[in-house]
Amino acid sequence: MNRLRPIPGRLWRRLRRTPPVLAALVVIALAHGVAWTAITPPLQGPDETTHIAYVQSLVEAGEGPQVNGGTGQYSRELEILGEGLYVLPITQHFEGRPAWHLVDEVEARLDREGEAARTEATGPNAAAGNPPLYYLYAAAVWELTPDRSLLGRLTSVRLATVVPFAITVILAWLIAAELFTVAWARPLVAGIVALNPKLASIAGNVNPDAFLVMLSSGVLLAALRVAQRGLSPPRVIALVALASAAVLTHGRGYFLAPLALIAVGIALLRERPDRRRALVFGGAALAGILVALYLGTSWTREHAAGAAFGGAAPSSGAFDLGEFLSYVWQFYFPGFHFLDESIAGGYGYNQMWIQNFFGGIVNLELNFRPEKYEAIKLGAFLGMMAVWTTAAIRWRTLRDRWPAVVICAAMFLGMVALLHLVSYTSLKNGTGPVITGRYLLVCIPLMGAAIAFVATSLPRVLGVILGGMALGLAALHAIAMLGFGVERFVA
Amino acid sequence: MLGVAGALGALLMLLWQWGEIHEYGTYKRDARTSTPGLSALFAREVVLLDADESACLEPVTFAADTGQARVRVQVPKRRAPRLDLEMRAPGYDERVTVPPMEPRAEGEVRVEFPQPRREVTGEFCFHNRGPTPINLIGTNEGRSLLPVELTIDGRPKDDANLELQLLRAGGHSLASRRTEIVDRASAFTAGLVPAWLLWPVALLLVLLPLIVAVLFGVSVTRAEAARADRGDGRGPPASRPS
Repeated sequence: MNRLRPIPGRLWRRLRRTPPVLAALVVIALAHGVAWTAITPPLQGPDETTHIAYVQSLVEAGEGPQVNGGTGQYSRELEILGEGLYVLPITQHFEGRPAWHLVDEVEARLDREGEAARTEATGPNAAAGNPPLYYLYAAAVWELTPDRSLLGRLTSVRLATVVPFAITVILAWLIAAELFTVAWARPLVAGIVALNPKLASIAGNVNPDAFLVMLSSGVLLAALRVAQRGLSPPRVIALVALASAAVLTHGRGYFLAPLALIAVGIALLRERPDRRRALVFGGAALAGILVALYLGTSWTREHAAGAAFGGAAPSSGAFDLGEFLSYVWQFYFPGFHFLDESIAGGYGYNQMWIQNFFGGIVNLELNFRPEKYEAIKLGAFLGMMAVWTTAAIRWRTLRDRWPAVVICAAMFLGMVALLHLVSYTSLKNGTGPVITGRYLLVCIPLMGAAIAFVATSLPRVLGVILGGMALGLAALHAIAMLGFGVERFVA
Repeated sequence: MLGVAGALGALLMLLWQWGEIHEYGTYKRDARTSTPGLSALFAREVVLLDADESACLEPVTFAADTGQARVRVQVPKRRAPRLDLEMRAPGYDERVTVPPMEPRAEGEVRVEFPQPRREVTGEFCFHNRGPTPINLIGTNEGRSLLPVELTIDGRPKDDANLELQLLRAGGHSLASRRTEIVDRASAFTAGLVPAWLLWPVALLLVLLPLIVAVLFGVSVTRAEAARADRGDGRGPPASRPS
């Protein structure tokens, strides 16, 4: 124990105060993420090859890749790895398995190819419009890992991406502490996050999503603290820094910028400080956010001409408000006879919120049977009804806690609005709906909070049983998807 | 008592689904050892093999416990030919005759053969012993081609491959293959996620419903104890404006 003394005393005391249950949940999250790292063959994660190529471009060429142009889509060594171990061809081939027996042969070939095979990855790269923050983190790991082999670097970055997942669990715990007085809501919310297989699998791959989920959870926590506890320099700095980091991580993080400003606005409204203090806090927050947005959009403009929303959608395309509203309506509900057919075709709520959120893991390959999705859909509907009914019954409590309610609602609606805006813009440009279940992960702590809201509103015994059932189901969900992953890739 | 109720709530879900979980882990299913030829997703390749012609795939690795092959063929004529499948590698040479095939039909052919008992790499051949031709099914789509060469009577055929799966003979449960699964999961991690680390990870994840039940039960018990200590039955507001 004495060896740990160099840790600053305050941090050490804080670490020792960590609740054992939270520590256990962090261990579970780490194990969950590491399991997906091992189960998912290299390059098999969603768009993983493009994300690795981005990292390689930063490391080898010292610059981000381009959406159009560049010296090559992937490096030669990624091609050798993908084809040599069969991992690229077997995508969507459910009968196909990676070539475990060829690891030594492929590594020997990579050694022979040497450093020359690492270059030529500056594009065209579909992920090039993404702002660079996650990729810089990954590039640092790529460079610093002691294992210099390609598989070693790739695994190192995957493992490093599990760390934000574990941090998200801690943040979810703290979010629950902000929202609920009942202490067992904390393990409930943090457990829902730690056991989510979609988040764990994405954290086990090279992908900015887990990093974005960590930052969005951090923004939610900071926004709740600012809105509920009031303005202070550390709180506002933390909020603006986290929202800026989210903006610089992914286009899907842009909705967190207005959320941060809403939190500061709520605090100003409640405190009604003098004009100077209001200008200092409000102005500093606005300036910080605007700088981040400017940097993010500049990066995207420089690396992905014609892209918007951090590269998430094309910037061109006519926007028709009526068509947009019709598309959003028909995404969730049946259309009316006076509405034109949705430009999304048959893609809607069921695909995104049910099938691709609860299933569709690892390139949409790991799925439940259709009847399970019907059961999940029914459960989700009952859950929404429960939240709605609880909110109606406890409206006085919610009114008293309006800052927290506004923050949670703004976060959820902001995410949904941005996703639909991006999807509509992409559909108008003929590039598909560009909206899938994992994009909802940024609100996973809110999903846990919604469950905890219902559970803590029930009579104590019933609430605790419901909370336990929710966690039990989440654990089964995690095990089921791991089982499917094992069967698909390593059995 | 409230903690026990919380833990029981979590365990209730495990009990509800226990049958399915147990069946999933113990169900005897295919155990693939390698897949040197993938099926077509969009574009099929149909290779006509006349009587006395051979088609070979190389290199093909036969794991020590490989004992079954699956291929896809189509019999175009009224009479089915006799088809031999040959596995050749240094120190390993096996030939199996495919059981009678239905004429004018297409289907998957499954044959079992003796295991090599050690990992060997060589070739897998189809030999049509006549008297009628047979179509071998594969793919020519670039994204599904593996670095395996196809030759027809010794002549290379570019940009095409034949469906071929190699498996262990018989069915095997996931539970019975746990060591192999852990070794395979560790294989691509450059030793950073070694098999010895995956064992406790796997154990923790398999026991997840129990662990979660205990953790939640403990949390509820502690929360209730703290609540009782305060004596007012209500926790302090977690947050308030300063």
